[in-house]
Amino acid sequence: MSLVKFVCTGCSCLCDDTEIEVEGTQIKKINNACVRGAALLSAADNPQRRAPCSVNGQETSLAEAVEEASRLLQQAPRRLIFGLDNSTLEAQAAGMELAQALGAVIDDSSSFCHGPLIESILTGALPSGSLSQIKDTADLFIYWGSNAHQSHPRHLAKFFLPFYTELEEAGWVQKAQLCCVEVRDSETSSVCEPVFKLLPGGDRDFIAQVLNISGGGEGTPEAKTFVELIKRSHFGVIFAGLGLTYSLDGDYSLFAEMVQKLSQWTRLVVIPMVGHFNMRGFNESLYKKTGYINKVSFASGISHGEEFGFLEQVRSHLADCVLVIGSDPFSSLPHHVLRELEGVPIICFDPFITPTTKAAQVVFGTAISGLEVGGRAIRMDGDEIPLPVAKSSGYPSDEEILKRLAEKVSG
Amino acid sequence: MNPPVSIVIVTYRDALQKAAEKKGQSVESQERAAVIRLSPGDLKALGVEEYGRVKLRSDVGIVVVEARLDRSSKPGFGYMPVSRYTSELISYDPTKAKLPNFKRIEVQVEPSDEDITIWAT
Repeated sequence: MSLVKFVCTGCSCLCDDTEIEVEGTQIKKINNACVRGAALLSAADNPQRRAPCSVNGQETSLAEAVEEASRLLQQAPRRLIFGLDNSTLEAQAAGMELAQALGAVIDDSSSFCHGPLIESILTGALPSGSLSQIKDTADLFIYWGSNAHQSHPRHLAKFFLPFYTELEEAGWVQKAQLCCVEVRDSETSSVCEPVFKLLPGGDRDFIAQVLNISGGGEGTPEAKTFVELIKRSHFGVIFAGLGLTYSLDGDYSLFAEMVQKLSQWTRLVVIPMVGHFNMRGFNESLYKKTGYINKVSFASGISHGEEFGFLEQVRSHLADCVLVIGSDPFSSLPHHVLRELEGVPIICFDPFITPTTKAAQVVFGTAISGLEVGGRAIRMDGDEIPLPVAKSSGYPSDEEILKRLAEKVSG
Repeated sequence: MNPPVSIVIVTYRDALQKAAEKKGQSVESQERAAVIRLSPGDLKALGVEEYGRVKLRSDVGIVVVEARLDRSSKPGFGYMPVSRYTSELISYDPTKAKLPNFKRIEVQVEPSDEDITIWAT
Protein backbone atom coordinates (compact mmCIF):
# COMPACT_ATOMS: atom_id res chain seq x y z
CA MET A 1 0.00 0.00 0.00
CA SER A 2 1.20 3.51 -0.73
CA LEU A 3 -0.02 6.97 -0.04
CA VAL A 4 -1.84 8.63 -2.93
CA LYS A 5 -2.40 12.36 -3.34
CA PHE A 6 -6.05 13.43 -3.14
CA VAL A 7 -7.12 16.98 -3.94
CA CYS A 8 -10.02 17.24 -1.52
CA THR A 9 -13.31 18.17 -3.17
CA GLY A 10 -15.12 18.51 0.16
CA CYS A 11 -15.22 22.29 -0.31
CA SER A 12 -13.69 25.04 -2.44
CA CYS A 13 -10.45 25.15 -0.46
CA LEU A 14 -9.42 22.21 -2.70
CA CYS A 15 -6.72 21.22 -0.20
CA ASP A 16 -3.94 19.56 -2.17
CA ASP A 17 -2.02 18.06 0.73
CA THR A 18 -4.58 15.36 1.59
CA GLU A 19 -3.32 11.79 1.18
CA ILE A 20 -5.08 8.46 1.24
CA GLU A 21 -3.82 4.90 1.51
CA VAL A 22 -5.79 2.57 -0.75
CA GLU A 23 -5.98 -1.21 -0.59
CA GLY A 24 -7.87 -2.55 -3.58
CA THR A 25 -10.66 0.00 -3.84
CA GLN A 26 -10.90 0.64 -0.07
CA ILE A 27 -9.43 3.66 1.70
CA LYS A 28 -7.44 2.46 4.71
CA LYS A 29 -5.87 5.68 5.93
CA ILE A 30 -6.49 9.42 5.50
CA ASN A 31 -3.92 12.16 6.17
CA ASN A 32 -4.60 15.91 6.40
CA ALA A 33 -8.36 15.90 5.83
CA CYS A 34 -10.79 18.03 7.81
CA VAL A 35 -14.07 16.72 9.16
CA ARG A 36 -15.81 17.45 5.86
CA GLY A 37 -13.12 15.86 3.70
CA ALA A 38 -12.92 12.80 5.95
CA ALA A 39 -16.71 12.39 5.83
CA LEU A 40 -16.61 12.51 2.02
CA LEU A 41 -13.90 9.83 1.92
CA SER A 42 -15.64 7.71 4.53
CA ALA A 43 -18.94 7.85 2.63
CA ALA A 44 -17.15 7.00 -0.63
CA ASP A 45 -16.35 3.52 0.67
CA ASN A 46 -19.76 2.90 2.23
CA PRO A 47 -21.98 0.99 -0.23
CA GLN A 48 -25.04 1.92 1.84
CA ARG A 49 -24.38 5.58 1.04
CA ARG A 50 -23.64 5.23 -2.68
CA ALA A 51 -26.45 5.84 -5.14
CA PRO A 52 -27.02 3.16 -7.79
CA CYS A 53 -28.48 3.95 -11.20
CA SER A 54 -32.25 3.62 -10.95
CA VAL A 55 -35.52 4.37 -12.72
CA ASN A 56 -38.63 4.95 -10.61
CA GLY A 57 -36.85 3.48 -7.57
CA GLN A 58 -35.81 0.25 -9.34
CA GLU A 59 -32.09 -0.36 -9.77
CA THR A 60 -31.14 -0.43 -13.46
CA SER A 61 -28.14 -0.46 -15.75
CA LEU A 62 -26.51 2.80 -16.81
CA ALA A 63 -27.81 2.24 -20.37
CA GLU A 64 -31.42 1.90 -19.16
CA ALA A 65 -31.11 5.03 -17.04
CA VAL A 66 -29.68 6.95 -20.01
CA GLU A 67 -32.58 5.71 -22.17
CA GLU A 68 -35.23 6.84 -19.68
CA ALA A 69 -33.54 10.16 -18.91
CA SER A 70 -33.21 11.03 -22.59
CA ARG A 71 -36.87 10.10 -23.13
CA LEU A 72 -37.94 12.42 -20.30
CA LEU A 73 -35.73 15.23 -21.58
CA GLN A 74 -36.95 14.87 -25.16
CA GLN A 75 -40.64 14.82 -24.29
CA ALA A 76 -40.48 17.88 -22.02
CA PRO A 77 -40.86 21.18 -23.87
CA ARG A 78 -39.17 23.20 -21.09
CA ARG A 79 -36.06 21.64 -19.50
CA LEU A 80 -34.08 22.97 -16.56
CA ILE A 81 -30.50 21.87 -15.82
CA PHE A 82 -29.37 22.73 -12.31
CA GLY A 83 -26.17 22.12 -10.34
CA LEU A 84 -22.77 21.14 -11.72
CA ASP A 85 -21.04 22.96 -8.82
CA ASN A 86 -19.59 19.64 -7.62
CA SER A 87 -18.45 18.56 -11.08
CA THR A 88 -15.16 19.05 -12.91
CA LEU A 89 -14.71 21.80 -15.50
CA GLU A 90 -14.88 19.08 -18.15
CA ALA A 91 -18.28 17.88 -16.91
CA GLN A 92 -19.50 21.46 -16.63
CA ALA A 93 -18.60 22.04 -20.28
CA ALA A 94 -20.51 18.88 -21.22
CA GLY A 95 -23.49 20.08 -19.15
CA MET A 96 -23.50 23.43 -20.93
CA GLU A 97 -23.30 21.68 -24.32
CA LEU A 98 -26.29 19.52 -23.36
CA ALA A 99 -28.24 22.60 -22.22
CA GLN A 100 -27.52 24.26 -25.55
CA ALA A 101 -28.49 21.14 -27.53
CA LEU A 102 -31.78 20.92 -25.62
CA GLY A 103 -32.51 24.65 -25.68
CA ALA A 104 -32.71 24.33 -21.90
CA VAL A 105 -32.37 26.72 -18.98
CA ILE A 106 -29.18 26.25 -16.97
CA ASP A 107 -28.49 27.53 -13.47
CA ASP A 108 -26.47 26.63 -10.38
CA SER A 109 -26.58 27.33 -6.66
CA SER A 110 -24.70 30.62 -7.09
CA SER A 111 -28.04 32.13 -8.15
CA PHE A 112 -29.13 32.09 -4.50
CA CYS A 113 -25.75 32.49 -2.79
CA HIS A 114 -22.38 33.86 -3.94
CA GLY A 115 -23.38 34.64 -7.55
CA PRO A 116 -23.58 38.42 -7.21
CA LEU A 117 -20.16 38.53 -5.51
CA ILE A 118 -18.47 36.33 -8.12
CA GLU A 119 -20.09 38.37 -10.89
CA SER A 120 -18.70 41.56 -9.33
CA ILE A 121 -15.23 39.99 -9.33
CA LEU A 122 -15.43 38.65 -12.89
CA THR A 123 -16.70 41.97 -14.26
CA GLY A 124 -14.00 43.89 -12.39
CA ALA A 125 -16.40 45.74 -10.07
CA LEU A 126 -14.53 44.24 -7.11
CA PRO A 127 -10.77 43.61 -6.90
CA SER A 128 -9.75 40.06 -6.13
CA GLY A 129 -6.56 38.05 -5.97
CA SER A 130 -5.41 34.48 -5.77
CA LEU A 131 -4.14 32.84 -2.62
CA SER A 132 -0.69 32.54 -4.20
CA GLN A 133 -0.68 36.31 -4.76
CA ILE A 134 -1.60 37.15 -1.18
CA LYS A 135 0.70 34.56 0.39
CA ASP A 136 3.43 36.21 2.47
CA THR A 137 2.40 39.70 1.35
CA ALA A 138 -1.00 40.48 2.87
CA ASP A 139 -0.90 41.84 6.40
CA LEU A 140 -4.61 42.11 7.20
CA PHE A 141 -7.19 39.33 6.92
CA ILE A 142 -10.88 40.00 7.47
CA TYR A 143 -13.42 37.17 7.64
CA TRP A 144 -16.73 38.92 6.94
CA GLY A 145 -19.92 36.93 7.55
CA SER A 146 -18.03 33.66 7.58
CA ASN A 147 -17.24 31.19 10.32
CA ALA A 148 -14.56 29.42 8.33
CA HIS A 149 -13.97 26.94 11.14
CA GLN A 150 -17.32 25.33 10.30
CA SER A 151 -17.81 26.12 6.62
CA HIS A 152 -14.20 25.55 5.46
CA PRO A 153 -12.48 23.86 8.43
CA ARG A 154 -8.90 24.05 7.07
CA HIS A 155 -9.15 27.55 5.62
CA LEU A 156 -7.26 29.30 8.39
CA ALA A 157 -4.74 26.51 8.81
CA LYS A 158 -4.06 26.27 5.10
CA PHE A 159 -4.24 29.82 3.88
CA PHE A 160 -3.44 31.95 6.89
CA LEU A 161 -1.52 30.46 9.81
CA PRO A 162 1.44 28.80 8.03
CA PHE A 163 2.42 31.98 6.21
CA TYR A 164 1.78 34.55 8.87
CA THR A 165 3.26 33.14 12.04
CA GLU A 166 6.91 33.15 12.97
CA LEU A 167 8.74 31.34 15.75
CA GLU A 168 10.56 33.85 17.91
CA GLU A 169 12.06 33.65 21.40
CA ALA A 170 8.68 34.55 22.89
CA GLY A 171 6.98 31.80 20.91
CA TRP A 172 4.82 31.89 17.78
CA VAL A 173 4.23 35.48 16.76
CA GLN A 174 1.56 36.54 14.30
CA LYS A 175 2.93 38.61 11.40
CA ALA A 176 -0.45 39.65 10.05
CA GLN A 177 -3.66 40.77 11.71
CA LEU A 178 -6.71 38.56 11.68
CA CYS A 179 -10.09 40.15 12.35
CA CYS A 180 -13.71 39.48 11.54
CA VAL A 181 -17.09 41.06 11.05
CA GLU A 182 -19.65 38.72 12.60
CA VAL A 183 -23.11 38.57 14.14
CA ARG A 184 -22.33 35.93 16.77
CA ASP A 185 -19.49 34.47 18.78
CA SER A 186 -17.91 31.72 16.70
CA GLU A 187 -14.77 29.59 16.61
CA THR A 188 -13.36 31.97 14.00
CA SER A 189 -14.19 35.10 15.97
CA SER A 190 -12.47 33.58 19.01
CA VAL A 191 -9.08 33.85 17.23
CA CYS A 192 -9.73 37.31 15.75
CA GLU A 193 -8.79 40.68 17.16
CA PRO A 194 -10.67 42.92 16.82
CA VAL A 195 -14.12 41.42 16.26
CA PHE A 196 -16.66 43.78 14.72
CA LYS A 197 -19.87 42.35 16.06
CA LEU A 198 -23.01 43.45 14.25
CA LEU A 199 -26.69 42.78 14.74
CA PRO A 200 -27.95 40.27 12.13
CA GLY A 201 -28.72 42.24 8.98
CA GLY A 202 -26.57 45.15 10.16
CA ASP A 203 -23.89 44.89 7.45
CA ARG A 204 -25.34 47.57 5.19
CA ASP A 205 -25.47 50.09 8.05
CA PHE A 206 -21.90 49.23 9.06
CA ILE A 207 -20.70 49.67 5.46
CA ALA A 208 -22.50 53.02 5.26
CA GLN A 209 -20.77 54.14 8.47
CA VAL A 210 -17.38 53.07 7.09
CA LEU A 211 -18.07 54.97 3.88
CA ASN A 212 -19.07 58.05 5.81
CA ILE A 213 -15.92 58.01 7.90
CA SER A 214 -13.79 57.36 4.81
CA GLY A 215 -15.25 60.51 3.31
CA GLY A 216 -14.32 62.58 6.37
CA GLY A 217 -17.67 62.29 8.14
CA GLU A 218 -18.74 60.82 11.47
CA GLY A 219 -19.54 57.24 12.37
CA THR A 220 -19.71 54.70 15.17
CA PRO A 221 -16.55 53.89 17.18
CA GLU A 222 -16.53 50.38 15.64
CA ALA A 223 -16.60 51.77 12.10
CA LYS A 224 -13.80 54.21 13.01
CA THR A 225 -11.68 51.35 14.33
CA PHE A 226 -12.34 49.42 11.12
CA VAL A 227 -11.18 52.33 8.95
CA GLU A 228 -8.07 52.85 11.13
CA LEU A 229 -7.24 49.16 10.77
CA ILE A 230 -7.47 49.43 6.98
CA LYS A 231 -5.37 52.62 6.96
CA ARG A 232 -2.58 50.92 8.96
CA SER A 233 -2.43 47.90 6.62
CA HIS A 234 -0.48 47.55 3.37
CA PHE A 235 -2.45 44.71 1.82
CA GLY A 236 -5.81 43.57 3.13
CA VAL A 237 -7.89 40.55 2.16
CA ILE A 238 -11.62 40.27 2.82
CA PHE A 239 -12.90 36.69 2.84
CA ALA A 240 -16.57 37.31 2.11
CA GLY A 241 -18.98 34.70 3.45
CA LEU A 242 -22.64 33.91 3.00
CA GLY A 243 -23.50 36.02 6.04
CA LEU A 244 -22.51 39.12 4.07
CA THR A 245 -24.26 38.02 0.86
CA TYR A 246 -27.58 37.31 2.57
CA SER A 247 -27.40 40.41 4.73
CA LEU A 248 -26.96 42.52 1.58
CA ASP A 249 -29.61 40.45 -0.24
CA GLY A 250 -27.05 39.92 -2.99
CA ASP A 251 -26.59 43.64 -3.70
CA TYR A 252 -22.85 44.27 -3.50
CA SER A 253 -22.91 47.83 -4.91
CA LEU A 254 -22.44 49.61 -1.56
CA PHE A 255 -19.79 47.08 -0.51
CA ALA A 256 -17.93 47.65 -3.81
CA GLU A 257 -18.10 51.40 -3.19
CA MET A 258 -16.62 50.85 0.27
CA VAL A 259 -13.79 48.67 -1.07
CA GLN A 260 -13.01 51.28 -3.71
CA LYS A 261 -12.97 54.06 -1.11
CA LEU A 262 -10.78 52.13 1.31
CA SER A 263 -8.38 51.24 -1.50
CA GLN A 264 -7.07 54.83 -1.40
CA TRP A 265 -5.11 53.78 1.71
CA THR A 266 -4.23 50.17 1.08
CA ARG A 267 -4.38 47.39 -1.47
CA LEU A 268 -7.61 45.51 -0.77
CA VAL A 269 -8.88 42.33 -2.42
CA VAL A 270 -12.01 40.24 -1.89
CA ILE A 271 -12.15 36.43 -2.05
CA PRO A 272 -15.53 34.69 -1.90
CA MET A 273 -15.85 31.85 0.63
CA VAL A 274 -17.36 29.54 -1.97
CA GLY A 275 -18.83 26.32 -0.58
CA HIS A 276 -19.16 23.83 -3.47
CA PHE A 277 -15.76 22.84 -4.75
CA ASN A 278 -16.23 24.05 -8.32
CA MET A 279 -19.03 26.61 -8.19
CA ARG A 280 -16.60 29.31 -9.28
CA GLY A 281 -15.63 27.06 -12.18
CA PHE A 282 -19.26 26.88 -13.30
CA ASN A 283 -19.61 30.67 -13.08
CA GLU A 284 -16.39 31.36 -14.99
CA SER A 285 -17.16 28.77 -17.68
CA LEU A 286 -20.71 29.98 -18.27
CA TYR A 287 -19.49 33.59 -18.24
CA LYS A 288 -16.96 32.78 -20.98
CA LYS A 289 -19.58 30.94 -23.01
CA THR A 290 -22.53 33.31 -22.65
CA GLY A 291 -21.46 36.50 -20.88
CA TYR A 292 -23.51 35.52 -17.80
CA ILE A 293 -22.50 33.54 -14.71
CA ASN A 294 -25.86 31.79 -14.13
CA LYS A 295 -29.63 31.99 -14.93
CA VAL A 296 -29.20 31.40 -18.68
CA SER A 297 -31.71 30.08 -21.20
CA PHE A 298 -30.63 28.55 -24.52
CA ALA A 299 -34.26 28.31 -25.72
CA SER A 300 -33.76 31.09 -28.23
CA GLY A 301 -30.09 31.93 -28.59
CA ILE A 302 -28.72 33.09 -25.25
CA SER A 303 -31.02 34.85 -22.78
CA HIS A 304 -30.47 35.79 -19.17
CA GLY A 305 -32.84 36.88 -16.42
CA GLU A 306 -34.24 36.29 -12.95
CA GLU A 307 -36.91 34.01 -14.45
CA PHE A 308 -34.13 31.55 -15.34
CA GLY A 309 -33.01 31.13 -11.71
CA PHE A 310 -33.69 27.67 -10.24
CA LEU A 311 -36.03 28.87 -7.48
CA GLU A 312 -38.01 31.10 -9.82
CA GLN A 313 -38.29 28.31 -12.42
CA VAL A 314 -39.68 25.96 -9.77
CA ARG A 315 -41.87 28.52 -7.99
CA SER A 316 -43.52 29.64 -11.22
CA HIS A 317 -43.82 26.17 -12.79
CA LEU A 318 -41.59 27.13 -15.71
CA ALA A 319 -39.88 23.73 -16.06
CA ASP A 320 -41.41 20.44 -17.26
CA CYS A 321 -38.34 18.32 -16.51
CA VAL A 322 -35.46 19.07 -14.12
CA LEU A 323 -31.98 17.61 -14.44
CA VAL A 324 -30.07 18.06 -11.14
CA ILE A 325 -26.34 17.35 -11.32
CA GLY A 326 -24.37 16.87 -8.09
CA SER A 327 -26.62 19.08 -6.02
CA ASP A 328 -29.14 18.39 -3.28
CA PRO A 329 -31.79 21.11 -3.33
CA PHE A 330 -34.18 18.99 -1.24
CA SER A 331 -31.77 19.20 1.71
CA SER A 332 -31.44 22.90 2.14
CA LEU A 333 -33.67 24.96 -0.13
CA PRO A 334 -37.12 26.30 0.84
CA HIS A 335 -39.51 23.36 0.90
CA HIS A 336 -42.56 25.47 0.22
CA VAL A 337 -40.98 26.17 -3.19
CA LEU A 338 -39.79 22.61 -3.82
CA ARG A 339 -43.34 21.30 -3.25
CA GLU A 340 -44.17 22.98 -6.57
CA LEU A 341 -42.06 20.27 -8.26
CA GLU A 342 -44.73 17.68 -7.57
CA GLY A 343 -45.50 15.92 -10.84
CA VAL A 344 -42.38 17.28 -12.56
CA PRO A 345 -39.91 14.52 -13.57
CA ILE A 346 -36.54 14.89 -11.86
CA ILE A 347 -33.34 13.31 -13.14
CA CYS A 348 -30.52 13.38 -10.62
CA PHE A 349 -26.78 12.71 -10.78
CA ASP A 350 -25.11 12.11 -7.42
CA PRO A 351 -22.47 9.79 -5.95
CA PHE A 352 -24.59 9.51 -2.79
CA ILE A 353 -28.16 8.82 -1.77
CA THR A 354 -29.72 12.17 -0.86
CA PRO A 355 -33.22 13.57 -0.37
CA THR A 356 -33.03 14.75 -4.01
CA THR A 357 -32.08 11.31 -5.39
CA LYS A 358 -35.01 9.93 -3.38
CA ALA A 359 -37.35 12.41 -5.08
CA ALA A 360 -35.97 11.69 -8.56
CA GLN A 361 -37.49 9.42 -11.22
CA VAL A 362 -34.10 8.68 -12.77
CA VAL A 363 -30.92 8.50 -10.69
CA PHE A 364 -27.36 8.23 -11.97
CA GLY A 365 -24.96 7.04 -9.27
CA THR A 366 -21.76 8.81 -10.29
CA ALA A 367 -18.04 8.76 -9.56
CA ILE A 368 -16.75 11.26 -7.00
CA SER A 369 -14.90 14.12 -8.67
CA GLY A 370 -11.29 14.38 -7.54
CA LEU A 371 -11.33 10.92 -5.98
CA GLU A 372 -12.67 8.51 -8.59
CA VAL A 373 -12.58 10.78 -11.63
CA GLY A 374 -10.00 13.40 -12.54
CA GLY A 375 -10.25 16.75 -14.24
CA ARG A 376 -9.84 20.40 -13.33
CA ALA A 377 -11.57 22.83 -11.00
CA ILE A 378 -11.44 26.53 -10.12
CA ARG A 379 -10.70 27.18 -6.46
CA MET A 380 -12.53 29.93 -4.55
CA ASP A 381 -9.73 32.40 -5.34
CA GLY A 382 -9.87 31.80 -9.10
CA ASP A 383 -6.81 29.53 -9.47
CA GLU A 384 -7.26 26.47 -11.65
CA ILE A 385 -6.41 23.27 -9.78
CA PRO A 386 -5.79 19.89 -11.44
CA LEU A 387 -7.67 16.98 -9.87
CA PRO A 388 -5.81 13.69 -10.32
CA VAL A 389 -7.66 10.38 -9.95
CA ALA A 390 -6.88 8.96 -6.50
CA LYS A 391 -8.62 5.59 -6.76
CA SER A 392 -10.65 3.59 -9.19
CA SER A 393 -14.37 2.81 -9.00
CA GLY A 394 -16.95 1.32 -11.30
CA TYR A 395 -19.06 4.48 -11.31
CA PRO A 396 -19.45 6.58 -14.46
CA SER A 397 -18.39 10.23 -14.43
CA ASP A 398 -20.81 13.16 -14.80
CA GLU A 399 -19.04 14.04 -18.05
CA GLU A 400 -19.51 10.56 -19.54
CA ILE A 401 -23.25 10.47 -18.76
CA LEU A 402 -23.80 14.03 -19.98
CA LYS A 403 -22.09 13.22 -23.28
CA ARG A 404 -24.19 10.07 -23.69
CA LEU A 405 -27.34 12.06 -23.03
CA ALA A 406 -26.26 14.72 -25.54
CA GLU A 407 -25.69 12.03 -28.17
CA LYS A 408 -29.13 10.55 -27.50
CA VAL A 409 -31.06 13.81 -27.60
CA SER A 410 -29.16 15.08 -30.66
CA GLY A 411 -29.41 11.81 -32.56
CA MET B 1 -47.84 27.71 28.96
CA ASN B 2 -46.05 30.96 28.23
CA PRO B 3 -47.13 32.96 25.17
CA PRO B 4 -45.16 32.74 21.89
CA VAL B 5 -42.06 34.87 21.44
CA SER B 6 -41.10 36.48 18.12
CA ILE B 7 -37.62 35.42 17.04
CA VAL B 8 -35.52 36.04 13.93
CA ILE B 9 -33.53 32.92 13.05
CA VAL B 10 -30.06 33.24 11.56
CA THR B 11 -28.75 30.02 10.02
CA TYR B 12 -25.14 28.86 10.32
CA ARG B 13 -22.99 25.96 9.10
CA ASP B 14 -22.26 23.04 11.41
CA ALA B 15 -19.41 20.94 10.00
CA LEU B 16 -20.13 17.96 12.27
CA GLN B 17 -23.81 17.95 11.33
CA LYS B 18 -22.93 18.02 7.63
CA ALA B 19 -20.32 15.29 8.14
CA ALA B 20 -22.84 13.07 9.95
CA GLU B 21 -25.35 13.66 7.12
CA LYS B 22 -22.73 12.74 4.51
CA LYS B 23 -21.82 9.57 6.39
CA GLY B 24 -25.47 8.58 6.68
CA GLN B 25 -25.49 8.92 10.48
CA SER B 26 -29.09 10.03 10.53
CA VAL B 27 -29.57 10.11 14.32
CA GLU B 28 -26.44 12.17 14.97
CA SER B 29 -27.20 14.45 12.03
CA GLN B 30 -30.78 14.98 13.20
CA GLU B 31 -29.73 15.61 16.81
CA ARG B 32 -27.31 18.31 15.71
CA ALA B 33 -29.79 19.85 13.26
CA ALA B 34 -32.97 19.95 15.38
CA VAL B 35 -31.80 22.74 17.69
CA ILE B 36 -32.35 26.44 18.10
CA ARG B 37 -29.90 28.48 20.15
CA LEU B 38 -31.61 31.23 22.10
CA SER B 39 -30.61 34.00 24.50
CA PRO B 40 -31.09 33.49 28.26
CA GLY B 41 -33.83 36.14 28.24
CA ASP B 42 -35.82 34.48 25.47
CA LEU B 43 -35.57 31.05 27.11
CA LYS B 44 -36.85 32.60 30.32
CA ALA B 45 -39.69 34.39 28.52
CA LEU B 46 -40.71 31.08 26.98
CA GLY B 47 -40.49 29.30 30.33
CA VAL B 48 -38.36 26.63 28.69
CA GLU B 49 -35.32 24.94 30.20
CA GLU B 50 -32.31 24.13 28.07
CA TYR B 51 -32.99 20.94 26.03
CA GLY B 52 -36.74 21.62 26.30
CA ARG B 53 -38.79 21.43 23.13
CA VAL B 54 -40.13 24.42 21.23
CA LYS B 55 -42.38 24.77 18.22
CA LEU B 56 -41.19 27.17 15.50
CA ARG B 57 -43.81 28.60 13.19
CA SER B 58 -42.89 30.67 10.12
CA ASP B 59 -45.11 31.90 7.28
CA VAL B 60 -44.42 28.70 5.37
CA GLY B 61 -43.79 25.87 7.82
CA ILE B 62 -43.74 24.47 11.36
CA VAL B 63 -41.12 22.33 13.10
CA VAL B 64 -40.50 21.18 16.67
CA VAL B 65 -36.88 21.32 17.82
CA GLU B 66 -34.82 21.43 21.01
CA ALA B 67 -33.95 24.75 22.66
CA ARG B 68 -30.35 25.42 23.61
CA LEU B 69 -28.90 28.25 25.64
CA ASP B 70 -26.61 30.67 23.79
CA ARG B 71 -25.27 33.25 26.20
CA SER B 72 -23.83 35.34 23.37
CA SER B 73 -27.13 35.57 21.50
CA LYS B 74 -28.97 38.87 21.52
CA PRO B 75 -32.63 38.73 22.64
CA GLY B 76 -34.95 38.34 19.67
CA PHE B 77 -32.47 36.30 17.65
CA GLY B 78 -32.01 32.55 17.43
CA TYR B 79 -29.43 30.44 15.61
CA MET B 80 -29.96 27.17 13.75
CA PRO B 81 -27.70 25.05 11.53
CA VAL B 82 -28.67 24.94 7.86
CA SER B 83 -30.59 21.68 7.46
CA ARG B 84 -33.91 20.08 6.55
CA TYR B 85 -35.37 21.86 9.62
CA THR B 86 -34.50 25.35 8.42
CA SER B 87 -35.55 24.56 4.84
CA GLU B 88 -39.03 23.92 6.20
CA LEU B 89 -39.09 27.45 7.66
CA ILE B 90 -37.21 29.44 5.01
CA SER B 91 -39.28 31.36 2.53
CA TYR B 92 -38.53 32.69 -0.90
CA ASP B 93 -40.62 35.55 -2.23
CA PRO B 94 -38.87 37.60 -4.92
CA THR B 95 -41.35 40.44 -4.44
CA LYS B 96 -39.83 40.95 -0.97
CA ALA B 97 -36.18 39.96 -1.43
CA LYS B 98 -33.92 38.63 -4.18
CA LEU B 99 -32.58 35.76 -2.07
CA PRO B 100 -34.27 33.25 0.25
CA ASN B 101 -34.23 34.48 3.86
CA PHE B 102 -31.55 32.06 5.15
CA LYS B 103 -30.26 34.67 7.59
CA ARG B 104 -33.55 36.26 8.59
CA ILE B 105 -36.33 33.75 9.19
CA GLU B 106 -39.13 35.33 11.21
CA VAL B 107 -40.80 32.79 13.47
CA GLN B 108 -43.10 32.55 16.46
CA VAL B 109 -41.59 30.31 19.12
CA GLU B 110 -43.68 28.55 21.76
CA PRO B 111 -43.06 25.78 24.28
CA SER B 112 -44.13 22.37 22.99
CA ASP B 113 -44.86 18.89 24.34
CA GLU B 114 -44.75 17.41 20.86
CA ASP B 115 -41.95 15.16 19.63
CA ILE B 116 -39.06 16.59 17.66
CA THR B 117 -40.09 16.74 14.00
CA ILE B 118 -38.81 13.80 11.97
CA TRP B 119 -39.55 13.20 8.29
CA ALA B 120 -40.15 9.81 6.74
CA THR B 121 -37.17 8.71 4.68
